[in-house]
Amino acid sequence: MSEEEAYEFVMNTLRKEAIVPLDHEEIDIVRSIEKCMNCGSCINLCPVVAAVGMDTFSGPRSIAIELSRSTPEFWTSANMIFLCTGCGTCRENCPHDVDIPMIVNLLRWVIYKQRPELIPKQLLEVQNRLEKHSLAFEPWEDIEDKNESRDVRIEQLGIPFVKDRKGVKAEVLFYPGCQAEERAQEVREAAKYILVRLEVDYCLLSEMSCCGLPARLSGAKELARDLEKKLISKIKETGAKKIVTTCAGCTSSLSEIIENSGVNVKVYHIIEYLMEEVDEAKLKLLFERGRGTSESTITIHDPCHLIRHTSRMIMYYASIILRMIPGVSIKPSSAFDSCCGGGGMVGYHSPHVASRVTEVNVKAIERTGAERVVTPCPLCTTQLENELFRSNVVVDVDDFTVFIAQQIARGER
Amino acid sequence: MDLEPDVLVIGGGMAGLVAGTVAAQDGLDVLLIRRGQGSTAMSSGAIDICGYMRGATVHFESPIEAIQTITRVHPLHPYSIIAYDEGGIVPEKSIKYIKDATNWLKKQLARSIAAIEGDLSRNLMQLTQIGTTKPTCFVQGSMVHPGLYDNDSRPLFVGIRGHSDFNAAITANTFLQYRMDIDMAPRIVLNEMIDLSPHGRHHNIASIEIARFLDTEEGLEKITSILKNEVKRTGATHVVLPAVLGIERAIDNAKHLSKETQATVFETLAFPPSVPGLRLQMALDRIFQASGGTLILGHKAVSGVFKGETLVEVKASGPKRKISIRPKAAVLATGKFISEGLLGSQKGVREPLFGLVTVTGEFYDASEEYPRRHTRPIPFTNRGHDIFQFGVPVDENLRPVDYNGRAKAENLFAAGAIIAGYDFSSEKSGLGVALTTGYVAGEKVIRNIRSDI
Ligand SMILES: Cc1cc2nc3c(=O)[nH]c(=O)nc-3n(C[C@H](O)[C@H](O)[C@H](O)COP(=O)(O)OP(=O)(O)OC[C@H]3O[C@@H](n4cnc5c(N)ncnc54)[C@H](O)[C@@H]3O)c2cc1C
Ligand code: SF4
Ligand code: SF4
Repeated sequence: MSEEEAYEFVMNTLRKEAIVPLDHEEIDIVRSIEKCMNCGSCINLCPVVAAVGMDTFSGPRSIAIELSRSTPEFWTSANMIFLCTGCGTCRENCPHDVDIPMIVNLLRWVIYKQRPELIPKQLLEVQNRLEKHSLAFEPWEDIEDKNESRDVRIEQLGIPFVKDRKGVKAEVLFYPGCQAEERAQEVREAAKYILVRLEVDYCLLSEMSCCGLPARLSGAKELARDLEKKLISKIKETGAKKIVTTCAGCTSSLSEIIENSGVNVKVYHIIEYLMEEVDEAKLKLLFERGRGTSESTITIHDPCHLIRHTSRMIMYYASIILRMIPGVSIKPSSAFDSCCGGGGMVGYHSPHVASRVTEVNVKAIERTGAERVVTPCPLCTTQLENELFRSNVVVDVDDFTVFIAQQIARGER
Repeated sequence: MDLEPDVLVIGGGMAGLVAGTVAAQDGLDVLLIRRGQGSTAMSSGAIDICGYMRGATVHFESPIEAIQTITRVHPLHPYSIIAYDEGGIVPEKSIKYIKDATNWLKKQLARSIAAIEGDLSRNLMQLTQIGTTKPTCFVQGSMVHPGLYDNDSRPLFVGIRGHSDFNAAITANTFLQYRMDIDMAPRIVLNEMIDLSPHGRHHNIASIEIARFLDTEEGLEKITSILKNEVKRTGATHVVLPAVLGIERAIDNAKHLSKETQATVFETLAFPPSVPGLRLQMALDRIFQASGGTLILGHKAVSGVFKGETLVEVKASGPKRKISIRPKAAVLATGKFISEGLLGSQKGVREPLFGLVTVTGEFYDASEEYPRRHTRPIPFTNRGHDIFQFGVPVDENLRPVDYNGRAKAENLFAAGAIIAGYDFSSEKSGLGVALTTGYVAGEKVIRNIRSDI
């Protein structure tokens, strides 16, 4: 038997036994669960357990000590494993760094390999779209319609339009992510406007392409890797040394894939960029010019992908920046850092679970009495907006980038 | 961005949060980083000061008595170290510190979700979730059970269907046996199972779910009417519940239920993951933040830079970012093995962050001690496990010392379970040592920065 034949033979046996071999990186993830000491600190804090109970979602401890342990029949956990929002609360609070969100991705992938019919069909649809368009959303059929929707949105928000900078080389690449590219276009426009006002040498990708996070979260590892590769080569083409994003998921996901790819590019959420790369006086001046035009009391929602997958420092910066704006006062919400429910693709296939998770936020936001919620992620913005509306709570929701752009635009007029 | 706070606290259990709050209340700019929950959140939420002398089978009647003994017998116990004065140990100094620290904490926690009751003049014999008792000093308002041990008490143990952490029948039975052993059993002990499903089902219910449910009006109404009936039916004087009375409202709920049922309704001490432990942790977090401290979760301190005898920088990493912190002074409150303030392996026991000297309970070098040799095969014995006494040796200012007994850095202090020389488990002194050393470290840091020491 040749080496290849032997390999095929082994692989066939594994397939028959429904055993899915892991690579080195994945074995490291599995190793992290060996450190679980079964203390249960995580179940006390998991927002999904809080929302639907341990019987429906057995929770992070069970993922660590039961669902992910040595059975080939991992698919039996499909009813639970797709309910995790990947918020990372368990990992952040775990005394031993057990990496539950990564284990969840891994299990989803194993289930995808073993019993693809158990993957919620909404996730398969997302995967199809990603395969077809390299985008998480169906692209607009008519570009005119897309532009019109964009213009209406930014007009309402009072954000001036600035032209796209594509196909040029620049120091900074602005990467809006699928949501801001196809749906929440105002976020993309707001970021461009801010960068222009700050005289940043920036460009956009000639053609937007997804970072692969939705694929990874829905169990399609191979697809995620293809998308990552594609994006990395596009990033290299721009010659950018810095990438600025406006989406929480993109920030953590890009940080991860850039780090793994070894490309020498630094990833920033726009908050970090404003804090670390922009002269504070310059930013303050732009805010000052709009002084007196608006007063507002806001509350802040912390996106999981920023605080628990990237760094809590980012939201610390966000509050520093927001405090620079004259007329803005911040009211802390008791659920500021509780998952919005929209993560981990849960909103796609189990919206009732996502809504239950968001309920906690809705109540806490209402209690603050603030006029608006500001959150630096278009996905959280949408999830919160929908749930506040459904619950008849009259509080505006603004993406952070949009909110900042509006303040700057006020000074321009 | 580099951060330059006055004080950096590493670790956010009882010790770190107390040190940080004390410093922040004095007007210092305090940054606290924490990588996860430690044993404070896992504890029963009752604050032990000192229950036993290690090896003894009879408990101390009062923590004051305990401190007087310990400071005389164990000169390197943290309670003794804080009592050094002009070269000798002055027990009254230790008692004064513990008094100040506990009074301070009581005041801070008053009206919080973990308000405590108790005083240093006596140990409470608190009922546990399996029906045994344990000496502790301060309990949360929802746990007090006056009169439980009276001869004419008529306790009703109430379990919740589907909640596997608490079996009312077994707990009641154990309680009865223990009381009979000392000839002080009540005439009657009752138990009952009730339905209280927060999500409509009667299986796989976690304590935290019930607690969340009881924070709602609906939950409270439901349990009130059930318990009212049960007490009426049985004539119970006490209702013994698992520790599930609420996260935000446990104390009010206990009061409300006691009033409505005319019996004393209370929570037992619980195992991890206990709801009262979480309440204590949350309350301490809030106090720290209210005092103006900055809490950065999810960041692990990974290394330090020392210049001469000064700690100048601490590097920390979050999930995908690294930060550098340059404080004027720092408090190391990273706990013991559970929170990985200490790491044990076949090679020995080390302090992973600064590579500080580690010692055994006898103050021998622990860097090459094989942890397993310092444990006993029986989990619970009055002799405890020597491994629990391992830790970092400190000077009388709570500064970790090197092999020569000199402070590793003039601006680095230690507090809590990382300190060597005591066994929280056999002494029942865990949160008490963490609180007291945290309080003292807070004061030392203030003096260090205001340039006295
Ligand atoms: C299961 C259990 C039950 C207990 N029950 C009781 C009880 O009922 N009553 C009682 O009085 N005592 C009890 N104890 C003992 C008591 O809980 C501990 O002694 C006490 O909590 C120690 O407090 P600490 O602040 O020193 O450490 P911990 O509470 O363990 O806190 C350590 C902190 O340091 C952080 N940390 C560690 N390394 C780093 C790093 N490199 N960077 C940043 N942060 C770091 C951790 O994340 C954690 O937040 C119990 C202990 C256990 C294990
Ligand atoms: S907190 Fe960590 S160690 Fe504890 S049960 Fe959860 S995963 Fe395991
Ligand atoms: S990542 Fe979030 S939702 Fe998933 S198990 Fe952990 S805490 Fe629960």
